[in-house]
Amino acid sequence: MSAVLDRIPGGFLTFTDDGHIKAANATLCAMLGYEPEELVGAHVQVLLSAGGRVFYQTHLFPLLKMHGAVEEIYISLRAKAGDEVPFLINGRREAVDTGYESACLLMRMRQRAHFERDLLDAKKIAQQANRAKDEFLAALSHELRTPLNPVLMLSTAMELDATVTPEVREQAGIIRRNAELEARLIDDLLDHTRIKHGKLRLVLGPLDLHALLNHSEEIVRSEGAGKRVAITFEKNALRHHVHGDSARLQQVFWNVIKNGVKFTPAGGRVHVTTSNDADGNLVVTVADTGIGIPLEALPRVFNTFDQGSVSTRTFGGLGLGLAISQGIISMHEGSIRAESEGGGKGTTFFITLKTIAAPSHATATPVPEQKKAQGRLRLLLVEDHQSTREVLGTILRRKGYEVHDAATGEAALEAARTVPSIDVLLCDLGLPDTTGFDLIPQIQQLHPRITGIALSGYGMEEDLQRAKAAGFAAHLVKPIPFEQLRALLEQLA
Amino acid sequence: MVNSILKRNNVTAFGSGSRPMLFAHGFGCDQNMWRFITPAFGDDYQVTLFDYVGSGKSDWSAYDRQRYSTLEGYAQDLLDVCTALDLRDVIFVGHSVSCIIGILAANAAPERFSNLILIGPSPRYINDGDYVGGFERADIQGLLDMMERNYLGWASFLTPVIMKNPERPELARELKTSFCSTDPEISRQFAEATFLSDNRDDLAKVRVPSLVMQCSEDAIAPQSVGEYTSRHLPDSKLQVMAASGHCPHMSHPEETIRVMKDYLRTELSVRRSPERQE
Repeated sequence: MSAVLDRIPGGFLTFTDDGHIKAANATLCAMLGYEPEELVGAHVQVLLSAGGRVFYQTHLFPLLKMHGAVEEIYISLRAKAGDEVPFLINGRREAVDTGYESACLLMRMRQRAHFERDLLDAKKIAQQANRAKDEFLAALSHELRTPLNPVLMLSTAMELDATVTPEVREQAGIIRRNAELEARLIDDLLDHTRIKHGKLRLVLGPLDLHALLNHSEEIVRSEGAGKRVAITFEKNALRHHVHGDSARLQQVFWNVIKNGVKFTPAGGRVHVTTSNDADGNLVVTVADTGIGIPLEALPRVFNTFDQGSVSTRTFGGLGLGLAISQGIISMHEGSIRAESEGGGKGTTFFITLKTIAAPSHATATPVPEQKKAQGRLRLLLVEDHQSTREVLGTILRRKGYEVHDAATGEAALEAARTVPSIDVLLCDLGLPDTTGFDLIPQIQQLHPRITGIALSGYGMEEDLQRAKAAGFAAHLVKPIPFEQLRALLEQLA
Repeated sequence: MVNSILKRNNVTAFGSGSRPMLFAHGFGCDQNMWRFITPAFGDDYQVTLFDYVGSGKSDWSAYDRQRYSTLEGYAQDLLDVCTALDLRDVIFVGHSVSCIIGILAANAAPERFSNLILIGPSPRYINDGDYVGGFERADIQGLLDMMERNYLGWASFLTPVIMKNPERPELARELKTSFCSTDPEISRQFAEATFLSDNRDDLAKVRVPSLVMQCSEDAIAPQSVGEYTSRHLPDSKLQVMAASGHCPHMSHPEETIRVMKDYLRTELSVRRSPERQE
């Protein structure tokens, strides 16, 4: 050991691939209470705690061997007296005359080890609190949403009920629209937490984005008209098919277009265009003539709960729409960005998605084909949430269907055994004693020709595929869009 | 399904032989750890490598806390790979915790495996009555603490400037992106599943012949543990190596290859029955 190395204010150690110590400087020996002769020739593991030995074999040595170097590795060494001393190690493995040796510089970190521990503990507590917040938000959203289902269904039923006065029906419509608005806010919260935790699952397939935009056009036009903002479309892209999730991309376009309408004063315009860039990607732009975004706020527009500035509180909403849109677009491996020349000069959003070749024939969602015998359809409704079961049953009976209901899997099987023929099984996937996935094959044994329609909580995309695999012909998400359910049933009738 | 497993576990394969050899990496690493060994087997075998979900270049989004809380979850990865490639008569080579994972897989689907080569196995790391595993529970806590400080802390496992790697300079860039880079949560769970489990009872259930390769001076799986493992495995040979440490396939590849080849030469000539000849 050179005199210089012995004097440096830090430990120095070399060892072979076998772990045998070739040299240890005086500073290291002093810090650990050894004489140099005690260490040279010994195995590095005499300097390691039991946990440290595992760490050496599973991390430190493999890294030295495979990378040739390590930096800033925390390791706890054991002094001769038995006490543990924390060190920070930098090491390098190099060829020497006799093979390979690793040379390490070791800095003792007495004070630093303590506050790093404190920092790590604080970080863990913060992470736990953040997780707890998200879990609470998810649970809260679920709890807030469930009671909305019967409100939505009952108000829909009332709106459609020809026996009540037009005035009452109009009021029912107001109730329905506001309940829908609230449901959407809650869905945003749910979506946001699921995107953040990678829990959102896309249902991917080939899609014609122009067809999707046509659909958006129909829906957003009324929003714009209500506020006297013109919404115009110009679809120029030659390549306009993508591999994507139609419902989720629809959600993005609604979000961005509605966002434009929201921040554009009456008399303004929101202009949507499509084009292809040089790489053949599809670029959808949504340009508004609204209040614009100050330059310094542009980078934050996709942040959660951020609407540019506090003054936008007047615009309502939770500020989640763009964050969710960005999450969905990046799950499609696309990009979304905003440009604005500043306050008052409007904003343009650019959404870029990879295109695919147009499929040879249009792919449509298959609908159940078989036509049932004439007469009233017999339905078996299995749903454990009491209000939902009662309201859905009431609406369906009012529409002329024969409805048998059950709150559990067992009750459903009992009904299936006693009712001579059942045409349609309307089944909640989450039941107290079983799941819809397990229940349908048992019901099918009793009624081989039954058509299954699965009902499940909002956004459980992962259920979609499973429901299909289990034998359900269709899948509806709560709150049950009644028109959709009726359309399905009419196809069967 | 097949493709998704191959992608999920980052399965790679090469070799001109027909007999499959499946290499399974240990805790803290990935399939790169085998690169000093596998070239020696490419001429005679179909060499298959993979990363467990949560290690290396596997699909980390497939990580399921429930599944991977026990070594059985990892054994399922191994079986999934065997099924995806329809591997039969597999010569399994496992390092450290993968020895037990291989044993669990071989017990679940013995028909797929012909031999197990176990490098540094330990069925139980924690001392328990008369059984000496080499560690106390508190020692494992020390390991977890050290891992946590390095993963959540400021360590550069991935050195920003890759120093000259005299042996394989061309690999340095590729390696730094995957080797030992891992998610602290996943790593902690893998460490707990590895070091706190007790698989002693699984040894006697093995129906496949095996070789235990035991290093001298192994600080993780001491010789008494290797002897215990070999003694409790039916139809097992124990080979104590001159190599010291716990990773002979990295520190002493030549001896490791020699021991493996010697074993396979005798095994395959003795065991090959006429109807299994290819």
